[in-house]
Amino acid sequence: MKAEAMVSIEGISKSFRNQGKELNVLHNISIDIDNGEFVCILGHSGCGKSTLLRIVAALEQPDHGRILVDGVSHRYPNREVILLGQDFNQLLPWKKIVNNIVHPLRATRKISNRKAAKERALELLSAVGLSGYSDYYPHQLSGGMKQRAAVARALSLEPKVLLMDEPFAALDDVTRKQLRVLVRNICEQHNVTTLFVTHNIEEAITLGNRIVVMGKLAGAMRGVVLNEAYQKPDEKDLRIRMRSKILDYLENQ
Amino acid sequence: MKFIQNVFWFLLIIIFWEVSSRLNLVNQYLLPPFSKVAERLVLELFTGYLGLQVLNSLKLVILGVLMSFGLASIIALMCICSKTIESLVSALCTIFNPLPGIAVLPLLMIWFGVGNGIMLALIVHGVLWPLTTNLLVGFRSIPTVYKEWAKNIGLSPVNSLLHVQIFSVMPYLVAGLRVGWGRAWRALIGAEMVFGMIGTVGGVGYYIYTNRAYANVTNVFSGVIVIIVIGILVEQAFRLLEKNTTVKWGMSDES
Repeated sequence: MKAEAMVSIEGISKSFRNQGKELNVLHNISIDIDNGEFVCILGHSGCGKSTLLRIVAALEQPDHGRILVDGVSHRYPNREVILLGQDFNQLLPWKKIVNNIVHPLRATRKISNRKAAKERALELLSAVGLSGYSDYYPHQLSGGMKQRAAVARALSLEPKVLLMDEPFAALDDVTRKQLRVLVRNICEQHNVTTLFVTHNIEEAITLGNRIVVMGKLAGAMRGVVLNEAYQKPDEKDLRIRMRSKILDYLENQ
Repeated sequence: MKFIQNVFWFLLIIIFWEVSSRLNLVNQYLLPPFSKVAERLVLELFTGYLGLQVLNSLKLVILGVLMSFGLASIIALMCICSKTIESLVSALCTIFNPLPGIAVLPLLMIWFGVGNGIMLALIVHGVLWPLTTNLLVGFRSIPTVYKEWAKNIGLSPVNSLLHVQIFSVMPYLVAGLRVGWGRAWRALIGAEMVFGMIGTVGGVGYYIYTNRAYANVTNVFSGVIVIIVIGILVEQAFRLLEKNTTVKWGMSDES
């Protein structure tokens, strides 16, 4: 079973020291995520979900436990595991949209040839619906468009794992719904294993094959729910059932 | 629009100046008409003494600014590498930033004697501290998302610096150069006047000073106008630089 997992989160614990007080953010978290799976991590604000994602990206080191990516210990950040955040301004403002994608492709030697890298960038921009905007600078685009570009930039590197930390939290409802569908489809097409952090139950039910529910206290995992309502947007009863099941996990300490 | 407004006011001031002088509303010796000053200015710039003096001053200030830029970059790099150095440098900036160069000029003269070196020291003092202060603030304010992105795709610290962090510091760099250039230019003109008395090194300041001694008010005005024009041109150059970098990138507003 373990050999098949794309991402293994094994007994991760993490605490921070703040003004002399020990704050236990994550407590003994273990999850296995299969190749191509889309897993949502759901929890209240401040429950440590972002920290978990940063640990998976190796941008933060855990106190205990380890992360395996494709069976190999993942201790230093690299382009196999890309983290995409909520900040609209994560693109580099001094590069045109297309060069925001070309630059990491060439810098990581994923595609060294400038022309080939540009072709790939344009391809992905059109996949996220930004065909006509390749020569714009980030500040000329709306928040939703910038997030689309950030998704294109992340996927262009063909990571094994894509980590998304509430990427659409600051967007308006309509844009957010559009982007959910887009991200779900594009991740499936690219067969990229995805961990998606959110505090929105609807979002989790729409997106995830499975939903990891985090507790309110001490960053403990409350349970993993198999999302039966996955890709069945019309079955309202099923969605409501999933919703109450998740709420049970969320509320009961 | 703003340009046209400026030109309008310039012209109005010049006309007022010309008329009040021609009609002897003010003493023509104290305020020669603009047309006479302009004529003399062209003559002095291209055939006389003034052109050489301007070139001398500009050469010094450009050399000084370049040296300060190099020095400030090296200092900023050392500060990135070591917290101790950063703490020391920021203390030095606190001490020397508010100190006008002209105030230490006598001390520099006692220490180093009089020559081009002392002028350079003065200019470097004018540029170095504000520029270094700005660079340090700039590096401290690089958004974490940029640095983490560089880290995330596995860029080495050197590549992160070259490809990501330096660009992020651009607005602070331009602002620092702007303040520094202004200070250095003022200090230089002042110093040239001081040295005018001992009469060794030239420059626009020296030119103005000696012409005062000969009571040649028209030439004094020529020198002053040259200084104004150079100031405006450099300011425009900075604006052009900003327009094509930080403003274009949405990192700062048009000034």
